[in-house]
Amino acid sequence: MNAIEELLKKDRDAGVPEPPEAAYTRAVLKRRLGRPPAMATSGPADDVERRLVIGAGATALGAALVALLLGASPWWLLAVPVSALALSPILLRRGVR
Amino acid sequence: MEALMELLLQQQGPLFAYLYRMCGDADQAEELMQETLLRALRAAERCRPETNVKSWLLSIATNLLRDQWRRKKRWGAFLSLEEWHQEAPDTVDDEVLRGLDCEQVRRALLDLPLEHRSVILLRYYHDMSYEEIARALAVPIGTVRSRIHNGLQRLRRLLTAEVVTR
Repeated sequence: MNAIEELLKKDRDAGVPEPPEAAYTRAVLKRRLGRPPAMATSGPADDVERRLVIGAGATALGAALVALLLGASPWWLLAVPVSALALSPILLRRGVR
Repeated sequence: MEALMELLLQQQGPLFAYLYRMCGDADQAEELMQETLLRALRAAERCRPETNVKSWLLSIATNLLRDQWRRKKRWGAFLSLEEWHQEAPDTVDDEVLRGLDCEQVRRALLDLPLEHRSVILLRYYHDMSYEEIARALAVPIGTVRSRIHNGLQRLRRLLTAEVVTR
């Protein structure tokens, strides 16, 4: 065994902080299992992502309404839900890989 | 579900230790542990009687970390050749390296790219065989061998730098 492997073994034997009590983890898991997966797994990065998507949608909708008021064809309002379809992989990427 | 949860909770010690060493922070390790256990519970159908629960959980935890670090672009941050040569310090004797303490080893481990850190932890802290690591990370066994080899070399360089600079 070389020096690096010995150091790793020494560190391993030194241990790490104790994990939380199993009862606490059990209670947290039960509570989080009651929520929908998207909500349960969301973190700060997901919140930013969601805000960006909502912001983009709102901007598109606003632009469409202005165009409508100015007399443009309302058909391109359909572009909003159609482009939302393209974002569905981002919004749905959840679960075990 | 209750039975699986109890089975998973029996492994929370090794799972927490792995995550703590992977991220170096107890609070973050706790959050990641809960998320890993949740993912496992939601994928209960993948846990068969022959499944090694510990390996399965460590595999989910590694995927979770990889997802998180990919967002921060920190997974597999390889050095360029120039950096490699610049960072390579003088060699030191094994006896001197053996005198380093655990804190220095942990710091050096945290400086490794995650793909090296994960295989070294699985091999040396969780006694997993190369085959088990390959299965858990869904990579060829040759990749596991080379990651361990390169990871140990890099760790040696980091620890040598620690000796040289102290």
